Amino acid sequence: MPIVLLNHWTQQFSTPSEQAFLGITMMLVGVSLVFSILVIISLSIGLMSRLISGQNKKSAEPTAEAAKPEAAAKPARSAVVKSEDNGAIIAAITAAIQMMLAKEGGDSASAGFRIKKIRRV
Amino acid sequence: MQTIITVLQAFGETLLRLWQGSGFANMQLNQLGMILISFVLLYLAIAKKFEPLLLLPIAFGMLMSNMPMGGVIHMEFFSPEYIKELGYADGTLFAVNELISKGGLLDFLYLGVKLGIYPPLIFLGIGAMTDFGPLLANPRSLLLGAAAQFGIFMTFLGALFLGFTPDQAASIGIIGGADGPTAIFVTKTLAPELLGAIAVAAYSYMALVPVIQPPIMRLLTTKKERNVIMGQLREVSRKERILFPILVTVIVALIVPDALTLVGMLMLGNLLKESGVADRLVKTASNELMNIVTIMLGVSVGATATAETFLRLETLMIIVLGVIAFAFSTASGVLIGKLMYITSGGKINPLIGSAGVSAVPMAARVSQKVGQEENPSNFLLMHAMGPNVAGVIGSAVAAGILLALLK
Repeated sequence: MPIVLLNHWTQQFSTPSEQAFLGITMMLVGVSLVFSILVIISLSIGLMSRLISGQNKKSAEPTAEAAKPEAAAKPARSAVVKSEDNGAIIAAITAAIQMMLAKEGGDSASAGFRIKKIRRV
Repeated sequence: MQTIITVLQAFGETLLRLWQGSGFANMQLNQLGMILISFVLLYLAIAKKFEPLLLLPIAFGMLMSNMPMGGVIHMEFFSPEYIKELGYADGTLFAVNELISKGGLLDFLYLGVKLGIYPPLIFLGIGAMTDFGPLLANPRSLLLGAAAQFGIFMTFLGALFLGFTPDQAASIGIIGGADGPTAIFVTKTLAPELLGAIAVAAYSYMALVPVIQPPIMRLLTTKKERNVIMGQLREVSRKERILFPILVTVIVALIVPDALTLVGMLMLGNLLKESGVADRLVKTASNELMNIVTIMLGVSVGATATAETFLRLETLMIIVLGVIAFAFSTASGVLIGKLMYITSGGKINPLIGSAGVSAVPMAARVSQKVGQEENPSNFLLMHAMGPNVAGVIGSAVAAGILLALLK
């Protein structure tokens, strides 16, 4: 059997006691609904933040691992930049900045950087 | 001689006709009262800077519509009884033919209110100007935004007891959200006859945030609580900022579709801003469009406050109930703030709870000011912005719930 919703349904509450009942019911329903919806949004934000930070960590890890040996193996050459070494140096610098941001509790993705080229000034 | 007498007679008759057609001869006492009220509002807007961007056009609209013989707005074109009398179909929102043939500027501007166009457009602009970062950094502040809506429902109950219909009571209660566009959006649907009084009350109380809130905040908090210095908020990534408006729109649309117009436009404005790819649109939404709509909304809402609809006992009751709603909203925000202070082990300053009313950013500034009065090295502004923007979402959701239950 379909549920039929009345138009102007509040008109059936005419006496003061019925109006009080209506008011209290609507107050409780209204407050509960506002809280519920904002709690759902709050939980969703929390979940979204966790997923995003987890994703960022995953994407940051391989870069850092790949870059570490390169950076460690050629510390002395960092002063002289040759074009064929650019890729490794870029990876090392990127990893170092990402690690630094992660240590500071920041989010590496928020920096929104990408090192494309290093040039002597 | 006869010619001179005829000329003088014609001259006298012309002057008499001019006099009879003038505002002086047709001025009624209640119109004079409304004109004086509009002068007071103009004074508050200009000299005291009480929400001048809206109060000024509202007051001027009020002044124009109460001028005798002015006829700048025809509220009867929007009256359900008049529309029925003219033989239009049930549910027709305005007397279409009469509006087109006899309507003037303000009648057409009022269509934006009647059809619920202006409040969502203002929300678009607000969204484009709002930084939801503090809320994303501390999602728990949404609870404070929810708590501050308690006043809406308490006042709804109070207004019912005072003899208002449920529709009118809901429109009065929404003043407690301290959100002018939302109050107008709800009232135009549920109780258009109260639009002028509710708009004036809502914007006046929004302007009076720095006066109404601090005593309640001090009364409900201890010196120790007001002294709490909160830790720095975390950085929020761009991804989060972009996903947030989409997420909120989907959640609200699924649970309270009636709040979608307001929340959706708020979130669209914010998405335009955070996406970083629509700078021109952001600029338009937050400046030109917002300003144009504000003028149209203010003037047309002010024009609805005619002597017949405004100078009544109900208006006085609305003004009193409005301040009660506002006080309850502030108090409930602070009380939930106190609860969070206890549950967080004293890490949350309950003063930020009062910012849950959605008067952005004034309520957050009040939290900052009261906090600094206690401890000059305390900076609560960014922490209070979280509940403040949550209050905007909260009041729009509360409005959607009232509309869903009553319309």
